[in-house]
Parts: sequence; C-alpha cells; structure tokens
Amino acid sequence: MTIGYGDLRSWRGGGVTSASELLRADITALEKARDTVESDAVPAGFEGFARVAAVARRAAIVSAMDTHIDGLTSFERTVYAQVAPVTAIEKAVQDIDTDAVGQQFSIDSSGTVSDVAPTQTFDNRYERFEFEEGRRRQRDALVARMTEALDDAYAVDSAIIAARPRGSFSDDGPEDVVDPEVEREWSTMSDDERRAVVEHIAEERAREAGVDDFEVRIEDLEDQDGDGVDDDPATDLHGDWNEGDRVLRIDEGDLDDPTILGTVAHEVRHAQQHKAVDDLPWWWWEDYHGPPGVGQEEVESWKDNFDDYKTSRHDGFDAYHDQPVEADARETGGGYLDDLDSDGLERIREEAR
Amino acid sequence: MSTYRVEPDELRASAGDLRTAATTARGADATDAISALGGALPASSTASVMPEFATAWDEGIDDWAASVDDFAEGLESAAADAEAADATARLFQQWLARFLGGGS
Repeated sequence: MTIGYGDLRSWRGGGVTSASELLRADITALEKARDTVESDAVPAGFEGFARVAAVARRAAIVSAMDTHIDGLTSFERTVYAQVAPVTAIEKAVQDIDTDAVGQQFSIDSSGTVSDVAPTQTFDNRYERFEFEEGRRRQRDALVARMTEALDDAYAVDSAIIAARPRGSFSDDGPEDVVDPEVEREWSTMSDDERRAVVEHIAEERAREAGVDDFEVRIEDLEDQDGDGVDDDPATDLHGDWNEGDRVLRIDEGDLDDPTILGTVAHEVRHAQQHKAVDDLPWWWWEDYHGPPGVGQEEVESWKDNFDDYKTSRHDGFDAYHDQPVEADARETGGGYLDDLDSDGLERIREEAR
Repeated sequence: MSTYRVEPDELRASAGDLRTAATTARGADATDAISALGGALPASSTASVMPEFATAWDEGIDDWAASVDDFAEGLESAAADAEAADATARLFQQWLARFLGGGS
C-alpha cells in the first residue's frame, strides 16, 4: 500500500476521533462483560471440587479477555494520539493546495506539481532567468511541504500498525504485516538493492543462528524447470530452504513485496531447525544446546516432523501450515517483520552496499 | 466431590448475568471502529490491514462469549439437577412418612 499526496486530501482527524471513541465504547463493554464473569460465575454456595473447577474455568475466561482488553486499550491510546497529527496533516494539505492555486501551480492526485501560470514575455534573458528561478523555488517549496506531510502520514500509519493488539484474539489476523515506512522505503529501492538486502539479511540471520556453509539464490521458484510455464499454478512459493544442497532460495517474482524479508527469516529458521536437530545430544552425558528459548522436547518434535514432513500438495494446506517446523518458522518470520522498522532497514541497506 | 449449598434460583440468576455478559461482549463490534479508522486514513496500511484484525478480534470475542454461555448453561444444569434431587428427596420423605406412619 502506498500513500499518495492525493490520498492525504481525504485524511480526516475527525474520523480518527470517531474511531477512538468507538474503540473506547467497545473496551467499556468488554470490561463490563469481563467484570460480570469475574463476579458472578462462581456462586457463593459452590464448595469443594465444584468450586475449584468453576474458579479455574472462570480464570481462563477472564484471562483471555484481560489480554485482549489490555491490547485494545493500548491500541486505542495510540489511535487517540494520532488525532492531532492527522488534523495537522489535514490542515497542511489544505494550506498547500490553497497556496498552490494562489501561486498558479496545480497538484494532481499523484503529487505532480505543474506550473499553470500564463505564458510570460520578457525584455531580456536575465529577466526570464530570474522569473524561472523564482518559479522553481516556489515549486520546490511546495514539494518540500508535500513530502513533509507524507512523512507525517507514514509516521501515523506506522504507529497505528505497530500498536495493533497481540494476543489470542488476533491469532487469525494477517501473519505478515510490514511497517508502512519499511514498505514505502522498499518501494523506492531497485531490484539490485533489494537482492543485496535479502542476501545480507539471510547471512546476518544465519550468522546469529550459527548456520554456515550455505548459499542464497534469488531465482524463479514458480518455473524451476525453465519451460516458461508455472510448474504448479495451485501453489505460490515464496522461498525454500534445502538441507540437501544447503541453498536458501527466494522467489525473484516476490522481490517487489517487502514481506519477502519475513520469508528470508522464515527460511533461515528452517536451516536453524535442521542444525538444532543435528546437534541433539546423542549420549546421555551430552548437554543440550538448542536455539534460545527452545527446549529439547521441541527440537525432538522438529526431528519427528522432518522425518514426516507434510506438503500442501500431498497432505493439504492445513497439514502443511500447522506442522511444528512451519508454525515455528512462521512465528520467526512474522516476528522479524514486526521488529523491522525503517531505521533497521536503513542500517541493512547501508551494510549491504 | 462436588457439593452445592445454593438455591437453584441463585444459580439461575448467575447464569442470567453471564448470558447478559456474553451478549454485551458480542455487541462490542470492533469492525465499526476499524472501519471508521480506515475511512479516515485512505490508502494507508491501517485501512488495508486492520479490518482483517478486527474480524479476527470479533471472532475471538464470539468464541469467548460462547464459552461464557457454556458456563451459564452449566449453572442452569446444576440448578435443574439440584431441583431434581430435592424433588426426589421430598418424594422419598413422603413415602417414608407414609410407610412409617402407616397412613394412606
């Protein structure tokens, strides 16, 4: 999604205020519902096992709603905090448009500024040069103000996306969400630079994971036999880790989509999973040294999963999607995208040059 | 061992409150707020991504409300069980009184 200058003409601080008020009303209703469950679910006369069971069940129900309310409350605060910036953007755009008309410029929805002043006649070249310089300065000033408004808009969008509630109620939401400022920056990069960034991220993540001796290839994964036809139109392959040839492949057709950065982290995680399986203790006296935060039992489940890996083609999408190694790699890829902001991408671009 | 020393009416009142809580939660529809937000910020990622989250939240809230309804149903069953047990005990006492007293 790219925000254009023309889009900013429709941004409204009042709409953000309404959204904030509606969210607050939702939170109040959910708090009331949760409080009722807290106070009324376990009748005073319950005793013994009935009471223990009812209290435990109530705790689970209340806890799920607590998590959602906490996330929604934090989100609502962030939305409310954007009322002033959006109102300022709204006013800035109106002022820019008014000034542009006054200075005989037109600004189209893509943000292109055109000089619409009537043709001038000049007595000499110097006069003409002075006039054209003055017009150029006026145009550049308008462009600078438009750029500033767009920067502010991306900051608003970025803040809201980053503040979205996490928790059980969000599990079925989109998995790969890119910071809008990262998306904007990605859209300005050449394919060569994107390739360099993808390779740099793969190498950096692999180094951190202790994975070495591998290659990154960005190639057409949809047509691997090279016959010019999609090998399997039913699937959309973004990336792949092959433990056999130790190649991390990324689909070149997805290079324009910044979610590919999450795919890179996802595939490196598969390499790390294989390494963790290979490093499992063989003898009883050996210590377990798995990835941080991952217990030996989980790595053993990865081992079993690799021995019985499910593919979407043969076992169905759910079997592929829900198996342990894919769930873990997806969490890693999504987490990487969640944490990547424009400063992080800027650093990687610098290092990849 | 499960024991209750409550009036069935108390259980039913609690169940009624829980059902009201479930209805209240279902009424907190996040899609309205998120739709207003997206409408205020056209072409933003907020407008394109957040509606999917709002749908997921609402589905999560529906599941939550269903579990509260289940809880209420459990309380109503307990009330019915308690009443049935009371009725059985009363019948037994009446039979015992007739048996011991020799009345008709």
